[in-house]
Amino acid sequence: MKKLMKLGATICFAVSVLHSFSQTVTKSYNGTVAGAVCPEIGIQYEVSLPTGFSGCQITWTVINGEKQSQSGNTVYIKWNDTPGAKAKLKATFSNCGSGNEANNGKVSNEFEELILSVKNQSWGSYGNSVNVDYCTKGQVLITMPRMFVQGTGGIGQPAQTEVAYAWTLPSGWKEVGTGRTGFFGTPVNFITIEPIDCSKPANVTVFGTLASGYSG
Amino acid sequence: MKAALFITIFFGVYVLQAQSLGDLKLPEPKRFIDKIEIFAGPNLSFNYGNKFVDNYYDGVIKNTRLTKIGYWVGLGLYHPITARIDVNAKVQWEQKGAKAELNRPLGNDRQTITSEYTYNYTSISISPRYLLGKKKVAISFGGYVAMISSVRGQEIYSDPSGGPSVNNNFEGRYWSIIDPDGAIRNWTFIPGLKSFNKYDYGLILGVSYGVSLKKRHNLLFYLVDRYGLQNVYNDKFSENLLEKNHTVSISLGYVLQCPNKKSKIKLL
Repeated sequence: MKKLMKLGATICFAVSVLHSFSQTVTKSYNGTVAGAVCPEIGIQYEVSLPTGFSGCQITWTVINGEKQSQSGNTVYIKWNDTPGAKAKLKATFSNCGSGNEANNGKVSNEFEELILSVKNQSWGSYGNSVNVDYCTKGQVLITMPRMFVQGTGGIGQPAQTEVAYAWTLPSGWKEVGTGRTGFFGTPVNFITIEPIDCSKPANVTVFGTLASGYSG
Repeated sequence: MKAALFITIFFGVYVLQAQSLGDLKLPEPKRFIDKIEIFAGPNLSFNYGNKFVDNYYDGVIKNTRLTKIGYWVGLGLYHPITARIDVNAKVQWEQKGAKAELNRPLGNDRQTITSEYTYNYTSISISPRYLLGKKKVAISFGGYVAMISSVRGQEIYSDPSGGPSVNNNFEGRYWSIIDPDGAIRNWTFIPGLKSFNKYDYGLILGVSYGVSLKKRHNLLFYLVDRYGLQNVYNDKFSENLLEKNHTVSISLGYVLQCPNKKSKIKLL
């Protein structure tokens, strides 16, 4: 039993030491969806520089994104708006100088997350018109099929992520309750609208959106 | 015979009169270094050789070369050769470098990256000068050798969707690999002077104008174009691109004329 405890303590110590001397790429904040990241906005990442790495040449490689800017050992990445794609980032160290040759060729962990994207994603089936009596003041409920981000909600995937819904009402119509007109967003897939004066034929548009307005 | 003797005596007296001691003028012996100068002024760098420092446009990215302003300060010595030719040796501390603005697509926007690299060199130059006319104007042609001592870099990123500009200051060199669509998906940072060649050398072409203040005190305005022949960066790193120094420098110098040596004539 004692031997087992010693072995466990040794392994824990070794792991903690290895971790403290490893080069790790980390994201500057935790998003609302674990294991996923939003596209088309600058996300900050940092690579740790343990002792012996400060003089190394650092080569960054990004997949499904591009560098937006950098400062010291931090970098801002803008990920591509590609449904189902994985965001990948790593740093490779080389030419670390005399005395640090052992660090040459070391590669940080590859940071990997799902890109939350609903670009060009199709809606489920829905009715494309609602009949109301001309020039009445009746309310109209518009419901869209719920839209989820590709690659979320499955086994081993980030939590299922539903889009927000961005609506555009035609002139002469407003949202019931809030009185909002024109362009606004809702976290739910339905709205109730009513005519401001009397109902006239018009189109309501809606798109699914993530952090910075990427639609399906 | 008599006539010949007369002519000889006549011309002999004439010659002796022409070389009388009162009229005897020997050339004044010059010192080995007859002028000393201190100078300072701006260095304008126009480095060239790759798409990150030259004017460049490929339909996707556009790079615009900007004037990198630095300084140079140093000491000069002048060694006379003839009345119109001397050799000017200078040792100077100076800033060279490159400044450019890269415009590229980033998502749905376009991004501007303004980069400025300052290379600090200690240089020695030697250039013979030829004095024109009244010896106020001189032209010079020569060469220089320089040793880099430090480097500083700055990159400022600006794009409409990126919020406030990001200012990145560092000691070393960043190289980006830009894909055909303008995206930067690979880039490398080489710290310190690792990516630099320690020495640079090149050619000098200059023109100067001297103004006399007092008997031994002068001001010297100097305009010089220095063209580097050596790649600023070494070939140890595959990421390094070709870049050569090119500076146009202006200086204002104070020149002290050393007194000539006194002639020592022994009268026997």
